[in-house]
Amino acid sequence: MNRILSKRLLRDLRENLGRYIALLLLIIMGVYLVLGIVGSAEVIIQGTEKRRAVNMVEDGQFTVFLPLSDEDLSELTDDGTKIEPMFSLDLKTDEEATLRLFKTREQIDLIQLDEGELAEKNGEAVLEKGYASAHDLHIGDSVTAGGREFTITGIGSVPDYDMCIAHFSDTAVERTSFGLLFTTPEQYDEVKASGGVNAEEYTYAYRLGETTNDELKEKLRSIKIAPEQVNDKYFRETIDELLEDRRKLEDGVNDLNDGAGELADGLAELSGHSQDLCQAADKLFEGYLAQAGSLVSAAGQNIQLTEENYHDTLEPLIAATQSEELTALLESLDRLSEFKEGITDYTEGADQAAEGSEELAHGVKELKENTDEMLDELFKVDIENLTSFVTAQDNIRIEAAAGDVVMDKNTGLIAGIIVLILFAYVISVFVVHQIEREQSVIGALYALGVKKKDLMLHYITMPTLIAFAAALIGSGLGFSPIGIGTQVKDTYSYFSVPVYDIVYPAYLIVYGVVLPPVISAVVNAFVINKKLSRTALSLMKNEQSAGNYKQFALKTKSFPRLFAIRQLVRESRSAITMVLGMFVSIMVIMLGINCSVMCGNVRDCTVRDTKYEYQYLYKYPDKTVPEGGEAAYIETLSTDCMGYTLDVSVIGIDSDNRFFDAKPEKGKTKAVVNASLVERYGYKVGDRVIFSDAASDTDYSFTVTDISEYSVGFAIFMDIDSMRELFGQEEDYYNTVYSDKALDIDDGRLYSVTTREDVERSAGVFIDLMYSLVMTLMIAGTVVFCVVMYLMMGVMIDRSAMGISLIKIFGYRPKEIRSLYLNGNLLIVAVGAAIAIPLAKKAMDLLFPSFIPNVACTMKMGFPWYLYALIYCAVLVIYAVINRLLIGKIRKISPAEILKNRE
Amino acid sequence: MYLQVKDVKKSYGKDTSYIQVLKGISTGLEQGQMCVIQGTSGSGKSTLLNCIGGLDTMDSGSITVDGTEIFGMKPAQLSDYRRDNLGFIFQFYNLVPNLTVRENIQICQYIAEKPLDIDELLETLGLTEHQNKFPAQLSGGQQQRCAIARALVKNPKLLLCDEPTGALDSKTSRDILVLLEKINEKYGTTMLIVTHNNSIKNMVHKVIIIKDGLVKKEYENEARVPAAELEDL
Repeated sequence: MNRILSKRLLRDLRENLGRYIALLLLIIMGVYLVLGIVGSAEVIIQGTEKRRAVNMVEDGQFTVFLPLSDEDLSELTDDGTKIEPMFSLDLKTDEEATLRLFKTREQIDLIQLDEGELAEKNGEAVLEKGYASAHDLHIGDSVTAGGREFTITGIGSVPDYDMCIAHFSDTAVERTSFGLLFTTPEQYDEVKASGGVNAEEYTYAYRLGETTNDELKEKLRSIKIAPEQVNDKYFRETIDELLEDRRKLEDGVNDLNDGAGELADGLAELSGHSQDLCQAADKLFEGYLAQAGSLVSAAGQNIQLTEENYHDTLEPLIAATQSEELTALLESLDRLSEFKEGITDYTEGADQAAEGSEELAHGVKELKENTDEMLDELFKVDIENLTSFVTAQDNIRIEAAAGDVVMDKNTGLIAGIIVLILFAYVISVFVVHQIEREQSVIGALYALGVKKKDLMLHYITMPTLIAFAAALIGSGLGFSPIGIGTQVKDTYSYFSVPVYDIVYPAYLIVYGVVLPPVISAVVNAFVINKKLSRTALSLMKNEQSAGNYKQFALKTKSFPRLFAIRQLVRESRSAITMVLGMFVSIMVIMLGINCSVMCGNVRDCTVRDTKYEYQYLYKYPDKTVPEGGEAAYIETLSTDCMGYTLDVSVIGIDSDNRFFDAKPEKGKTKAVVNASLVERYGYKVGDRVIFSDAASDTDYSFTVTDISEYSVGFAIFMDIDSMRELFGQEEDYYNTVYSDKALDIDDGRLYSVTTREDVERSAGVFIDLMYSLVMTLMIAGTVVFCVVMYLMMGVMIDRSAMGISLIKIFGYRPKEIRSLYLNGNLLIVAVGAAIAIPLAKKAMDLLFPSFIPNVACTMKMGFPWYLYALIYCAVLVIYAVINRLLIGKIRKISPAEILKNRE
Repeated sequence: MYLQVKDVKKSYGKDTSYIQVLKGISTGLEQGQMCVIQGTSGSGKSTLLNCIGGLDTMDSGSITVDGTEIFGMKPAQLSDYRRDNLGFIFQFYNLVPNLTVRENIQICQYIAEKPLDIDELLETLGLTEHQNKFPAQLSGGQQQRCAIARALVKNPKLLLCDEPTGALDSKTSRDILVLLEKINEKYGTTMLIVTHNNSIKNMVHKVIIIKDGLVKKEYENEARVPAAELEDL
C-alpha cells in the first residue's frame, strides 16, 4: 500500500514546491548556523585541549616583588614542580602601542609558531599573531619597541595569552595597541639594562609536580624579601624610607632611655648631698645652742637647752636681762631651726625624686625593649614576596577562547533544537491541512482496509524527507569552510590562538543529520495522530466536529470584525505557530540587538565614566602625590560568575575625588558598588557582598551603602583611609594617581599608564568585533521571521480557500476579501508583535548575562522606545510585504473551487 | 426574457484531452420562473449553470441576465454581476464551518445593497432557534435551509441551485423544495435548479433537458404540482 501511496509524494512535492523549498531552506539555514556555531566551538575546545600537552600549558602563575633566589627555586621545585620565569618588560612602540617583551620560553607555555622560527640572535623576535595581523607585519619585517628594532623571525601565540590583554582587569583585547614579543635571553637582558622602560614584572609560570596549588602558594607565602637582594632603586628607596623611620624611632627611644638613666643618677647624687647639708645644719644649730646654754648658765639658771625648749627658755630670760647677745642668739637659732626644717623637706623630696627617676629609668628601659620588639614587628623588611597567585583555571587569559565558545556551543545546541521543533511544527501545520483536505479520501482508504500506521507513515514521509535532505545539505554546509570555517574566524580574529584542525564530533554529525528528520517525524506523528484517529465513516462524510469551534457569542455588530475574529479562532494553530515563530525569530533578532546595544553601551558608559585623562598605576609609589594628581588606592578582588572568576576593582578614594561620582562612607566594611555589579548580581543598598582575594585566601565582606553609576568593569568604592586600614597599608598609602593632565613620573615607578584614549579605544573594540555576529543573528532572525510568517499566512489562506472561493461566488470584491481573510492576520501580527517584542526583549535580557559570564562589564541593554517602535514597524512592514505577496494567492483562488470541493 | 442563453459553447483541455462540454446551447427564462435543468452526468448542466453564474467563462455565445451581457466580462465585473444579481445554493451547502447560522447569513447580508431582514428570514426558514449554532451542529436539512437563507438575504433576482436536495433524504428534500416554492411566490425570485431528481420537474414552471452539451428538450410545465405533493423524491 505504501508503495502506491508513495507515488503521491512526488506529486505533492510538485504541487507545493515553493512551500517545501522555503522549508528546506529554513532548515538548511538552521542546521548550517547551528553546526557552524557549535562546530567552530568544538574546533576551539578540542584544539585547546590538545594544546595543553603540546605547548606545556602552565598550571598557574605567580608574581613576586623580587625574583626568587636559586635556593627558593630549588626548594619550590624539589617535588617535581617546574617553574619558569616569565619576566616581562612593557615596551612602547612608535605607534604608542605596547609590546610586552619576554624571553623565549623553554619549559612552560611554549610558543606555538604559525610561521617562521624562534629568535636565535640579538635583534630577532617572535611577534604575537594578533598584533602582527592588526599591523600587517610579516616574517622579515621589523618592529620598533622600546627604541630598539626587532626583526620578526616568527609569528605565533602562547597559551598564557590566549586572550591577549595587558592586565587581568582589561575587558577586551586590543590587537592594535597590545601584543607580545619573544626574544633571546641576551637581548632581553640588554633591553632591561638599557633602562627607560617600565618596571620589570616578575612573573613565574609553573607546572605542578607532586604538590597542589594551595601547597605551592603556602610555600611561596613563606618566602620573605631579604633587603640586600633588592636592586630596584625605587623599591630600595621604599625600603630605605622604611628603615629610616625605624632608625629615627629607635634613636628617640634610646635617647629617652639614656636621659632617664642620667636623671636617676643625678637625683640619687642630689639626694646624697642633701643628707650632708642636713648634717651640717644640725651641727651649726648645736653650736649655737651650746653657746646659748653657756649664757643661760652664766645667768644662773641651770637649764639644759634643747631644740624643743630653747625658745621658751630664752625668751623670759631675755626679757629679764635685756641681754643683746642672747637676743641675737635666739634669732639665729630660730632661723637655723627653720632652715633645718627646709633642709629636711628638701632632702625628703630629693630622695623621692631619686626613687622616681630610678623607676622612670626602669620604665623607659622597658619601653625601649618593647619598642624594639614592636619595631621588629612593624618595620620588618622581610615582607611577603608573593604579590599575586593565579591558577590556570582562574586566569582569564588562559583558554579564554575555549571558555568563550562553551557558552556558544550550549546555546547553539539548545537554540537549534528549539528552532527545529518550531520548523517541524510549521511543517506539521501543512500536513494537518493536507489531511483535513483529504479526509474523505483517508476515510475511503480506511474503509478499503488501509491501516492508520500506513497513512501515518505516508504523511510523515515527505516532511521527514525534506528535513533529512535539509539536514544533509545544512550539515554539509555547516562542516564546510563556509560553515565552521567562517564561524571560527570570529574566534581567530579576537583570541590569540593557533589555527586548529577542523573536527567532526560524532554527536554533532548525529545532531546535524539525524536530529532534524527525527524531530520532524516525532512532532508530525504527534500532531497528526489525532487527525488520523477518526472513524472511516466520519472521515468520509467529512464531518466537522462541533467541538472544533469555540462556542462563544460575539457581540460585535461589525461583520468584518466578527468574521476576522472567527477566522482567527479557526486558524489559531497557524496563528500560534506564527506568533511562536515571531517570538523565536525576534528572540534571535533581540540577541543581535542586545549584543550591539550592550557593546555600544559599554563604550558610551566607559567614555562617560572615564573622567580622568591619565591613570598612573604605581609599583613603587612616591612619598608625595604628584602635583595635579588625585591619589587612589586600588586592590583587585574577585567574584564568581557561573564558574568564571571575574575581577572586582576595589577603589579607595577621598569623598571629594573629582574623577568618580561615588561618595564612600568611612568604615572598613562599607562600600559603594558600581552599576555593572548591580546589573549582574542585583545588589541593593544594605546588602552584604563578599569578594575574595585569591592570593591571600581571604574573603572580604562589605555592606553596600550606595550605588555608583560608574560602569567600567566591576568596581566598588571605599573611603581611602578605611581601605588602607582594611588592607593594612600606611596612612598615606596610594598606588594609583588620576589626573587630567600628563604628570612627570619616573617610568620605573609605574606598572602602567592608561590614558582616556586607551580606555575609549578599548571600550569600543567590542563593537567591531561583534558586528558580524550581530548581522548574522539579525539576518537569520529576519529570514526565519519572514519565512515562518509567509508560510503560516499562506497556509491560513490555503485552509480558507473554500471560504474565499465561496465569497467570491457571492460577489465579494478583492478588497473585501482581503479585509475578511487578511485583516485577522494583521490583528495577530499586531498583537503578537506587541507581546512578542517586549517579551523577547525581557527573555533575552534575562538570558543574555549567561551568554557572557566571562566578561565583567555593564549589562545595560536598554534601548530607547523608538527602537521598539522601529522593530514593531519593521514587523508590520514585513507583514505588509508578505500580505501583498499573498494577495496574489487569494486572487488565484477560483470561485469554481467551491464547486469541486467542499469543506 | 430575464435570462437569455444563446449558442453557448464551452470546451476544456487541448489536443487529446480536448472535450467540448457545451456545444451551442440556447435557451431562456422569464422573470419569476422556476426552472429545472436535467440531464445525465457529463451532459453539461453544471457547466451551463456555472457559465450563467459567471463562475466559468464560455468560449462563445451569449448570456444576458436582465439585459446584461456577461460574455466577455472581466473577473471584477463578473464579481459585481454575481453580487448584484445572483444567489447560489449548493448540493453540499458550503456553509462556513466556523460561523454560526446567523453569521453565515450575514456573509451575504454584508454585501447586499438592500438586504432582507435576517430575523424574518430565520423565522421563515425555521432557523430562529438554531441561529447561534455552527453548521456541524445542524442536520443536513437545517444546513441547507441556512444555505438558502444565505442566498436569499441579499434578495437576488436569480437563484442558481446546484442539486439543492442531492444530499438530503426525501422528507427533508420535500421541505426544502416547499421552501423554495414559497420563496418564489413570496419574493418572485427567478430560480434555476440543476438536479438529477426527476420529480422536481413537476413543481417548476419550465424544464430544460440537456444531453451531450445540447438542449435536447425544453418545455413549459403547464400542470405544476405543489412541492408538498411531489412523490418519489
